[in-house]
Amino acid sequence: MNPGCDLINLKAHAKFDTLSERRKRKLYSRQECTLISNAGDPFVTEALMWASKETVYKATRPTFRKFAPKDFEVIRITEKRIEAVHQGNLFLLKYEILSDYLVVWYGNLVREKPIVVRWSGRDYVKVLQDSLEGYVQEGLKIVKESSGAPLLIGNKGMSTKKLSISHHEGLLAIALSAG
Amino acid sequence: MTRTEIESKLLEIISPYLGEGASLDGVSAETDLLRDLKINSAHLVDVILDAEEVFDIEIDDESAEKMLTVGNAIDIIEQKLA
Repeated sequence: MNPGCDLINLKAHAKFDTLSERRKRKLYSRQECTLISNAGDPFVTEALMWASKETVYKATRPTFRKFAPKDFEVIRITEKRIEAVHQGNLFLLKYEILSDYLVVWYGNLVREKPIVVRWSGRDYVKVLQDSLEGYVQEGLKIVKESSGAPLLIGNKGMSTKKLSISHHEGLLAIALSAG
Repeated sequence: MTRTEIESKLLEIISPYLGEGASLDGVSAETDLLRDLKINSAHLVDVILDAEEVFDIEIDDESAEKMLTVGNAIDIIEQKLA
C-alpha cells in the first residue's frame, strides 16, 4: 500500500462555509454528518473528515480519477486515530492538529509523520526537493503519473520509496514511506 | 444559454477558489480544475454548489464525479440546462 497524506490550512478552509447542510449532504454520509454535528469542534472535525477521505484516496491510488467523496467513509475519530472504510477495507489513519493546519496520514513513514514545510513565495519544486534531502538518494526526481500520484524516479528507475504530497495555501506536507 | 455564456459564468464561479499562483488566463476545455487551476480538492464541492445556485440546476453525485476539467463542467451544466 502507498502512503497517503492530506493537509488542510485551517485559515484558508475557514474562508468558506464548510458546515452548510447542502455541502455536507454532497460530501458526507448520514453517519458522517452526525459525527460532525456531535463533535466539540464541528469545523475542525469536518476538515479532519475531508482530509481522511483524501488520504485514503491517495493511499489507494485509483487508476482513474473521479470526484466521489462518498466512496470513502469515516466511521470513527478518536484522540489518536481515525478509522475510515473504502470498498469494505478498514484504514487506520493518524492525524495532528496544530494552530493553523491539520494533517492526516496513512502508512509507515520516515519521521513517523509527514514532513510539513511552509513554502509560500518560494519555488515549489525546489522546496519539495530540499525537504526530501537526506531521506532519499541524491538525483531522484519527482514525477507525476497519469492519475496525478507522485513517484520518485532516478537514473536506475523507480525508487522503492513511495510518497504522497499535499499542499494548501502556503503549506506543504510530504509523507515518505519508511520502507 | 450558449456554451460561451456558460463558460463565462463558470469561470466567475471558479475565480475565488483558484489556488496560489493559478490564473484563468489561457483556460481551455482541457484545463484541469485541480491540477491546473490548483483548486483545493476540499473546495471542488463548493464550485459544484455555487454552479447549482447560479445556473439553478441540481448536479447529482454521478455528474459531480465527472467534473474534473472546465470542459467536463461545461458539458454537465449544458446537459442539466437542456
